[in-house]
Amino acid sequence: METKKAITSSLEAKERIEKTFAVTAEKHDSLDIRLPIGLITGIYGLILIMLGITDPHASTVLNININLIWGAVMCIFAALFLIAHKLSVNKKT
Amino acid sequence: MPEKVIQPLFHISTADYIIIGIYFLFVIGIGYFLKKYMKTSLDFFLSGRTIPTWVAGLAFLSANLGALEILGMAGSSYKYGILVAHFYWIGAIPAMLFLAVFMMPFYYGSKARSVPEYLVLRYNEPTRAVNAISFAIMTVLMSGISMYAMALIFQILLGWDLNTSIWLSSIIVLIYITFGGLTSSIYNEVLQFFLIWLGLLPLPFLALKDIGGWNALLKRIPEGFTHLWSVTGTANSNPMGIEYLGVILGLGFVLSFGYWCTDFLVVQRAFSTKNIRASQQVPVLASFYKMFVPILVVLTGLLALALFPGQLGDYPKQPYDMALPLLINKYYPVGLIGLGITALLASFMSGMAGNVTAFTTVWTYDIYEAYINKNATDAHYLWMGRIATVVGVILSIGTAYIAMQYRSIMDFMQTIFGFFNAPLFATFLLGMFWKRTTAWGGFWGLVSGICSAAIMFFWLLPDKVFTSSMAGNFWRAWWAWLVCFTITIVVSLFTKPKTIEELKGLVYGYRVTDEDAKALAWYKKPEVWAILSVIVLIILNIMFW
Repeated sequence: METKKAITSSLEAKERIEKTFAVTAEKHDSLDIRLPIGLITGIYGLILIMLGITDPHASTVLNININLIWGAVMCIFAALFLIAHKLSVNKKT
Repeated sequence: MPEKVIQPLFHISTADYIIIGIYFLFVIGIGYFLKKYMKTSLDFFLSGRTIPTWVAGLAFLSANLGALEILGMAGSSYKYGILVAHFYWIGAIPAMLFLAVFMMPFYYGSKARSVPEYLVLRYNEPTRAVNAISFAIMTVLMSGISMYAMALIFQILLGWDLNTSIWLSSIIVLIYITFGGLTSSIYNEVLQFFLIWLGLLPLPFLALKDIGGWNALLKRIPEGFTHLWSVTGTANSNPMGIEYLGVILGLGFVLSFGYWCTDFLVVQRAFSTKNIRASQQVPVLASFYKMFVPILVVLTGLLALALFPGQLGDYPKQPYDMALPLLINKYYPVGLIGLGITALLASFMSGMAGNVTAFTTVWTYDIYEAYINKNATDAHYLWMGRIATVVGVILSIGTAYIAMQYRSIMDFMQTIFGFFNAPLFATFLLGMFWKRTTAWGGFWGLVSGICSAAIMFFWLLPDKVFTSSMAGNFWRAWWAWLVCFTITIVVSLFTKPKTIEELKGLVYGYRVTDEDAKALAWYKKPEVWAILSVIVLIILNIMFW
């Protein structure tokens, strides 16, 4: 009796899964995540560069303008992501 | 609650607030743009199985890399030294690779929409119920507990009011997941991944430069703090109070396999990809990222120890969690500090989002659809997912306020949650690799494993038996696993096995053939990358022996 009940519950679960998959037959594109990543890191990079230029001695411990350096690093990073996004858009069209 | 005004650690300016504000705008914006893609329940709960592998891989790792973990692990490194890297290397990578190579084909191939659903397919309804209900409760409570802990940290760092932190982060998380479901959650985890690295990576560089390089650092910290294994001969010879067998069996085997291979919060990320091979590649990819996380947490913890020796510790000193914030405060100027705070905020919010999406999926598919409303339309389940998101967030907020009132109960609850994880891995291991395991074998094994963990904690092997509570956790996990493993086998031998028809695609030996995988070039096979990952892991362990 016990095992019989177990069989039906497993098969019942299988049927329900099939139902969900049947509804989502078509696969579709989604937002390309490289775009928002490129944008936000680019904006942050520019803000840091601006802060680095206006106040080069903000960091008091070490004599490094870390805002300027890291802002530049983030801008390069952002550019790579935006280029990758652009390339994938071109490929599709 | 202390009512006195505490001077915040960081002094932040308008530029920093602008950086934080931009982040909030972006996460809500991403949710808004994803809304139109959420047409079915599968879109909402499993991203319609369309997420690219590299994105799912980053999300797989980030779902686990919460702000509390980063701060806590940096603090632990200050306290215990490089031994903390065990949590990242031996304590994660073997389990992630095992999940990828051996378990993912059955998880993904079974078409289960959640981890508990695999249990109903392989075992029976009661086994699923135990896992689904305990997971749903634990996930929501954990999300609330970490929300409170995080609000406390923001109060210390920035002087933010607890209520503001809790409500602001909850409302933003609520907006973006109600819009975009799992996809929102995954996208924000990926965003968090890059923000964490970009926001915290300058820290070890600046501190190392200040201190005079790696060798200068080694001279300033105690000898035993820089070795992974050579100090673990006995429990008394290292700061963590644990010997190598405890590390390997408890942390390396049971706890990490229990977490990485069965916790739906992380496995859900691999479920969102397009085929079996992609789902296998997700944890493999994440294992490579994972190896480098100690640069952010362990190295910074050691640097904090060298720069601020004796400043952190038990009350009345500052708590260990402050190791990373002290470094930020010392080296980051206005701007970079905003970025650092955004990184912490992002990792906290995405952790919460991950909890809430896992909760809504398990609630909708494994509790609501399974027991409450069996035959509704797909559109109804999608609607239910959105409702569950709201309810999940409200329950988290409620838990955060309870945590605020009863601090000690919360620590206790975290220990109780640990009871459920360790035995579960035995249930999956036997379910996937031994055809003879029966439905009731799985159920009674799991229940007795959970009970034995509780009995050991309260009576047989309480913390005071061990040199440290961490050693206690490792050893109890191992014994609970063994109890579940043994009972499952014994009960299985006396009960009726499942038919081949029922086990198809669920057990080793009846694997569904993956046509795409056969034609793959060797360098595209997940197994090849997994082996490479193991080699790098071994080299790392030898380097810091």
